[in-house]
Amino acid sequence: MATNTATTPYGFSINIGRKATGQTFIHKVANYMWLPMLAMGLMVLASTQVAGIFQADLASDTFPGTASDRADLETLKVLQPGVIFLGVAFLLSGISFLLASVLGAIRWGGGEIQEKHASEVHTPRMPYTAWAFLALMMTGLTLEFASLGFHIYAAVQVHDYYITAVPPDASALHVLGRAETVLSYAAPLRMVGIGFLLAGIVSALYTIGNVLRFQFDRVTSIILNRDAIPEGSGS
Amino acid sequence: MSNVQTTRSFSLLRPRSRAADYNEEVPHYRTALFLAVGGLMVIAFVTAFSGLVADWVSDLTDPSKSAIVESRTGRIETYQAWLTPLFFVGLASVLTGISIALWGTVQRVWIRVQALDEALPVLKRQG
Repeated sequence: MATNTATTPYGFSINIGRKATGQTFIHKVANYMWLPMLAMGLMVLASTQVAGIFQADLASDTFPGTASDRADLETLKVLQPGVIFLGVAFLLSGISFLLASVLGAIRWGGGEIQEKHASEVHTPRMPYTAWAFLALMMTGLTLEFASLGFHIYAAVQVHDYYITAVPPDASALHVLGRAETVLSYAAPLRMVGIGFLLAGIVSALYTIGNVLRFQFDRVTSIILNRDAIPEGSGS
Repeated sequence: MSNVQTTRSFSLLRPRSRAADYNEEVPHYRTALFLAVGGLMVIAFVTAFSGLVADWVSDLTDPSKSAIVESRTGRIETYQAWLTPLFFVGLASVLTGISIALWGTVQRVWIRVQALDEALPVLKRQG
């Protein structure tokens, strides 16, 4: 059990105790979730490729074509980016979970080594960059789901517009306007979502860099039988 | 003799048995490179094809080609419909490559733990 806390120059505080604490709940979740996230991302993107081939077939018959064909084509066109970006978000989330697993392995393995070979076990407390990483990843994934919701709503409106006639009925133009308005929000939203996920990955890599710094120093101090902790102002 | 727990219930991230040679190459990195290069090739193909589609798009505003605007529109829509997801399939291949490299990295961390466990007592005596 941890008995003491000390600040370090690595950007985080450490708990000092006699026993290794293992991984946190978040690390355990990451160990289980990285593969399903990657699999879902790949499945979503593979299905959009199949849908794209179907859409291409539809497009080749649609100019000119029936109102129904045109409505189906335009609906797929609106849905496609929302679904694709959700697939990319799943892949990036899988990468994020793998980075969390790297951190978990460093923490768990480092604890086991210290428990056996050192008089004290120094365990990093979760730094603010790790919390930021989690928050950014969750926000990014949530924004991608919200963006997909906007795309589905716009797709329904677009279908309602193009199904009216060939060419579409001018009296239904407000429906198309509604769809375009929603899409104008959805397009930047999905990019912002990806931005959040990538920023989360940067934050995770920053954390890994700092934890490795800590671990190199700790290994050196174990070899040289030094117990002094470098002073700092970690959170 | 090392006491670090190396055999446990099945885990994709933590190697089940100790590596005979800690410098032995894990297969993940080669696979990752293969996927990244494959993904880049798909993206290059899409980019090259997009040049052709761009040429058709320029026909849409050419007054001398107004008679073929409808067929051109159909062709552009057709190609864009499968080119866009294909680009993201290429990107997915690159991202999967990154993931597999990271998977290899997690396994490498555990192999390093085993190596440290064996080396530390010797190093402490020498230190």
